[in-house]
Amino acid sequence: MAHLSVGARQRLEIMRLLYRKADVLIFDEPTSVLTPQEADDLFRVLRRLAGQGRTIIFITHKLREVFALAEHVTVMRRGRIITTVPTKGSDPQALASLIVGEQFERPQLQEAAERGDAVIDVEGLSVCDDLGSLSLREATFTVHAGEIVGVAGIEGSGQRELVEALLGLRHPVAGNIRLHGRPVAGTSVWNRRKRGIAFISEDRDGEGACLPATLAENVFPLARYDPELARGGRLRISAIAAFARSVLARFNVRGAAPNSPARSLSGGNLQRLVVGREIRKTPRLLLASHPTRGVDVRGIAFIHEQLTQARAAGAATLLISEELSELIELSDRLLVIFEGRIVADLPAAQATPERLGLLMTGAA
Amino acid sequence: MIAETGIPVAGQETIAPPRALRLLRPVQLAGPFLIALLVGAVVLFASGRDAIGTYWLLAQQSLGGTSQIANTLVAATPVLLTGLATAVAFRSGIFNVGVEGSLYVGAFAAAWGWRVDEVVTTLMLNYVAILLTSWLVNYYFLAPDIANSMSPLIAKQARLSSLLPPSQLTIAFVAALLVTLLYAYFFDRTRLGYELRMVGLNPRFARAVGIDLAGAVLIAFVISGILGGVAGGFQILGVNYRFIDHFSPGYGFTGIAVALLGRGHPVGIVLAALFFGALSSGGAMIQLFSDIPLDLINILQGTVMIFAVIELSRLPFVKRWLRHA
Repeated sequence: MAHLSVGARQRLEIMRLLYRKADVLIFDEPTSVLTPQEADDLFRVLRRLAGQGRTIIFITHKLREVFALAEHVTVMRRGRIITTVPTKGSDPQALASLIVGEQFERPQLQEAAERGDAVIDVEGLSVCDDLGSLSLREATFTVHAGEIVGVAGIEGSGQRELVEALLGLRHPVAGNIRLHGRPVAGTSVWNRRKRGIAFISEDRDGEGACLPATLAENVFPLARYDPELARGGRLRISAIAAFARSVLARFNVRGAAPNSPARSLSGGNLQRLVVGREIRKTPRLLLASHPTRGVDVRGIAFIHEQLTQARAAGAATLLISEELSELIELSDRLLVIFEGRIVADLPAAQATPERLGLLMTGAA
Repeated sequence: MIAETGIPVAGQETIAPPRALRLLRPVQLAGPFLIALLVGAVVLFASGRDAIGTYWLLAQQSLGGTSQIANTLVAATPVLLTGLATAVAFRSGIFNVGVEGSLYVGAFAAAWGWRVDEVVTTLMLNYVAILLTSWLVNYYFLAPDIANSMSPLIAKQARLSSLLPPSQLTIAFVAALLVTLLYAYFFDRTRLGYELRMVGLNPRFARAVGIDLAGAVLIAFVISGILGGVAGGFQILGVNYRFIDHFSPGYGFTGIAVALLGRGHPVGIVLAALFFGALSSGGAMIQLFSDIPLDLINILQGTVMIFAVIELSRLPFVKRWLRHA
């Protein structure tokens, strides 16, 4: 079964459910690993099943999918059912307001900035995964200051290995990485972070944050050598608490004190904290890996705003996302990755979800 | 299919009750000890003995007077230090089962003023340390005219003097309390302590923010080894006055239970060490005054140990390990 595509595996799973005469089918974010074409195929299958009298419950945070598929939509917020409405007669704006609980206006994003010098030069970079098979093959690209470069690709096409190699979590097997013209090979994560590399992890709970620790302890690590906060190796507890409060306030992490545990925050609020920690000081290179994954609508808008502000301040950003609309909206340039190879490097203005979908699956 | 993608659902925003991580919960902490006493009472009752009377005797013999209290503190000293040694490792995400070995090397060093590289001490396996010291004492440092495997007595000036003669309560106990304070200060108030704690709580997070994992593990082992060595050294300088082959009744391993039952919290560790100290000093005396077998003490210890093992499975790094296994 391992050689089947994710889409094919999903169809197999659906067949198995039907074989067991399931009348109610529940799907929890089934499209996050699919290309747009595969998602459309899935929707066709689901509509046919609904037509045959089966009930489909489809959990998603993508408004587009709600309107593409559902007849009725139930909005949940903080564990409560808010309302159930027919999709006909509703629109995405109204639904977004219901989800966040108040009138919701999309903020204006900062316009594209003037493109500056090359910040990171990647040349012939090949990286192996944990099992030793080549995940990223001879990647070559450049990201400039004031530029967001999006990476489109099916999950598991080498994106994680690329980010790990850039941050210093993983040794590449071949190729060069230069930060401001200087090679980074063999330097530690901390060394690279000191040189201005920031990282928003796609795995917020497992890597981006430390859930059993306090909020202050989650904000503090990148500032731990700041003499204002730690002098001679001794922590200045009240200064750290004040520092944490200022970051929480600036990035609008609500209902949180510096010494409350990170576990008590919602996903969206915790992600604000992570984003705040990483871009509090404008990074030179921001590795943003699925920065809006599992984040509510309002949080997504906030994060988009922050990313474009960092761009305006001169950050070079590598944005990895499964949301093609997000990639197209935010990026200046797009790299498309297929089976570990960068198969296209195009201006975002020339990209459409359909074209990206074809490139992502190696069909074009 | 369901939840196969592992993607959290938007709006899935549970607000967990904030957990007071730093506050000790006295009731929770005392639970294992109370249940152990209860199990012991059932056993005593079943064997036709007076449970309350036995516990009263046990309490009297461990806490009922100045010299009894002094003996309990003496017995608590080594397990407090080995408990701290183990807790340093636990909080840094590692399980140092080598404390028993460090104890022997530290003890031997104290008996001989031998300079030991603590890194070597720490990483040395227990049996290597125990057998090595055994070999050294038997072949090179054996006291003349004594049949047992022990070194000559250390010089009188080197012995720690008693704070409360005729007991063997020395500054070793005070020093162990100071080490407890240092332990609390280190983890709560220093950058290195913070880094080790983050490694223990979530190593992937620690790595991504640029904490050197290999370095952190080595430092934790070294500190843990030093504390184990200090425990052994104090035992020689303050209690035994000589190195005796296989002298430890498992101080290092009791330290594991002390660290677990104290939940890594300094106050909890002191209380757990005092409990084991009281059991051991009271248990030794109780046999002189009653027909209660020493097995009762073993049952009490064993019951508490079961809870220690339950605690073990709640450590963050053990949880991760269990998930992957």
